[in-house]
Amino acid sequence: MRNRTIAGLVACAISTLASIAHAADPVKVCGLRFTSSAANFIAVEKGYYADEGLDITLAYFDAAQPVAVAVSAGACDIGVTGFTAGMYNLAGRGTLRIIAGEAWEERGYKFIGFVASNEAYDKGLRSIRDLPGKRFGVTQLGSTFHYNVGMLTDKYGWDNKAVSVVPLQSVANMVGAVKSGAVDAAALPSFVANPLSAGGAVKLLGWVAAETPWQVSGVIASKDMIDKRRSVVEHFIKAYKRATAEYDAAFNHLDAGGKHVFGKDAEALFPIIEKYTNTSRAVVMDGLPYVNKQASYNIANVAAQLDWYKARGFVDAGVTVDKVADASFVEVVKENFK
Amino acid sequence: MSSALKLVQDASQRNSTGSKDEGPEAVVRFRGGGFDPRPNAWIGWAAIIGLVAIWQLAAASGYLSPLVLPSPVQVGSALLKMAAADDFTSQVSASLSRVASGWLIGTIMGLIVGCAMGVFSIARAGALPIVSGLYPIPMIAILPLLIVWLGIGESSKTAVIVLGVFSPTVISTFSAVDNVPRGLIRMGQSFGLSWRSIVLKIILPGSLPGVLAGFRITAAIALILLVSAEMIGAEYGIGALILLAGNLMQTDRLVAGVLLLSATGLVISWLLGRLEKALLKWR
Repeated sequence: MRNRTIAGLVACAISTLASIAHAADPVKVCGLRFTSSAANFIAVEKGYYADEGLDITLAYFDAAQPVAVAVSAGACDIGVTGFTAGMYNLAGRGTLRIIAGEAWEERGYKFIGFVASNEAYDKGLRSIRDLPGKRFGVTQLGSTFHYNVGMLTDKYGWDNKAVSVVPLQSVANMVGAVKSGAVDAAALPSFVANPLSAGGAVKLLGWVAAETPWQVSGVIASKDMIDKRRSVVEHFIKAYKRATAEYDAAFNHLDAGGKHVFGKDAEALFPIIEKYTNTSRAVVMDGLPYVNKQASYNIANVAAQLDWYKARGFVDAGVTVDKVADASFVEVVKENFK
Repeated sequence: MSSALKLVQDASQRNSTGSKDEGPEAVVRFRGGGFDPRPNAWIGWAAIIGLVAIWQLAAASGYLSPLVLPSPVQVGSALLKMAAADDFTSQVSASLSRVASGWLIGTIMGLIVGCAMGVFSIARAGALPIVSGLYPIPMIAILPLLIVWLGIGESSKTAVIVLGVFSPTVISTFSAVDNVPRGLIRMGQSFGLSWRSIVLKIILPGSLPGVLAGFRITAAIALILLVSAEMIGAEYGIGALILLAGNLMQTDRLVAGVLLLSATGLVISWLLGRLEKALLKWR
C-alpha cells in the first residue's frame, strides 16, 4: 500500500517535470500579410515551430515600420519585415537586431517593378534610363521605394536631384498619382504593377531585381529576446530554416531563359500562402521573391544601405552595421551584390 | 402616500424650527459669487512649465526611455537644429500659405452657403443634407481621389483644407444666423425696415459672435488637416517634416514638429481673439 503511494507520487512528479520540460515557449511573431513572408507562414502551418517547442502567436501590421516599432517596444518578440531607415534608427538605439534574411531582389525575380504613367510614356519615358528629369512617386523619403530609385541614381551616375522624388505616403496614393499622370513614374510591388500594366493603366519599365539586386527584408528580434531567451531564438531560426529550404525547393528556380518558374513542390505550398496573405493564386504567383535557402542575408548590402541613408541624414550618424545586424544565428553573405 | 405626507410634515417642522433659531432678523450670508471666469495669465504659464519640468525629470531619471518620449532638452535641441537649417523658412512659409489659402477659401464658401441657409428656407432645406453628408468624410481616405482629380501640386493640398473647413463653417454660420433673437428682427419689421436693412443691420451683426466662435474651430481644423494635406507629395512644410520624422523614427524631430504646429495654433488663436475684440466692440 505504502509502496504504491510512493510509486504514485514519483510517477506524478515525473509527469509534472516532463510537462514543464515540454511546456511550449510563447513567442509573438509580427509581420505583414505579404507573399515575401511565405517561409514564416509555411513554418507556422506545417508545425515546424511547434516541433521546436515554440508556441507561436502571429500578429499582422499593414506597413514595415510599425513592425520594427512593436519589436522595439517589446510588444513583439520577433518581427518579419522590410528594412527601412526607421528600423535602422531603432536598431541604432540598441532595441533590435537583424537575425536572419527574408526576401532578396535577385536577378530574374520580379518583386518591385518600375512603372511609367501613360502620359509620360507617350512623351518619351520608355526605359529606366529616361528617368532623370521626371517626377518619381515613392511612399516616403527614406523608404525602400526611395532607396530603389537611389540605387539607380548611383548605378547610372545621375545627379542626386536628377529624379525628383515625390513622397505620397501610401501605395494607394502612388497608384492614383501614376495612373492619373500626376507623377511620371513610380516603384510598385509586382502584385500591384502587373495587373495595372496588364489593364493598360500604366507602362512597365523594368524590375528592381534586374537593375540593382539588394537585401529587402529579414527577420528581426528585440535585443531583450536575443540576450535573455537566446535558445528560443535559436529554435525559432532552426524551424524558420526548415521552411526557407522548402521555399527554395519550390520557388527559387529560373529556366534556361532566366524566367522565374516553380518546382513541383510549389502546388502544395500555394494554399498555405493564399490562406495567410488573404489573396488569390494569381497574386501569390506574381509576388514570390528570392528567399535564401539558409535564411542568409547580405550583411555587406545592409552596410551599403546604412551608408546611403546616413549620407542623406535619414539614419543617425552613430548607427553602425554591428549595432544593426547579429551574424551569429545564420550564415551571412559578406560580399555585396554586383 | 403616507410616507410622502410624512416627508412634507418633516420639512415644514424643520423650516419652523430653523426660523425660530435664527430669529426674524437673521443675517443671511451672501451666497452669490464664484462661477465667474477671472483672467489669470500666470497660472497658464506655470502649468506649462510644471508639466515640462516633470517631463524632463522623468526622462533624466531614466523612467521615460527616449523611445517612448524624447526629453524636453532633446526636443529643444531638435527644434533649434530645425530652425537653424537653411530650409526652415520655406518649411514654415509653405505650410502657412497652405493653411491661409485653404482656410480663407473654405471660410468664404462656407459663409456664403451658411448665410444663405440661415436666411432662405429653400437653401437650408436643399443644402443641409449635402453639408451634413460632406462633414464626416475622412480626408486621408480620399487622398488618392484628390490626387487623380487635382494632381499633386498646391491645389490638391489646398483642397484638403478647403473641404475640411467648409462644412463646419456652414454649420456654425447658419446656426449663428438662426440664433439672432427673433425679437430684434420683429422690432425691425415693425419699424418698417426693408428686408435688406434687416439682413445687413440686424442679422449679420447679430450672428457675428457665433461666426467668430466657429472660426476658432475651423482654424484648428485647418491646422489638423495640414498634415493630411502634406501627405500629397509635399517637399516642404511642417506637416511633411512631422511625417518624415515619424517615418524615420526620429522622435525628437517628430515632437519638435508637433510643438511647432501647436505654437502656430496658439498664434492663430491669439490673432482671432484680437479680431473678436475689434469686431465685437459693440457688445
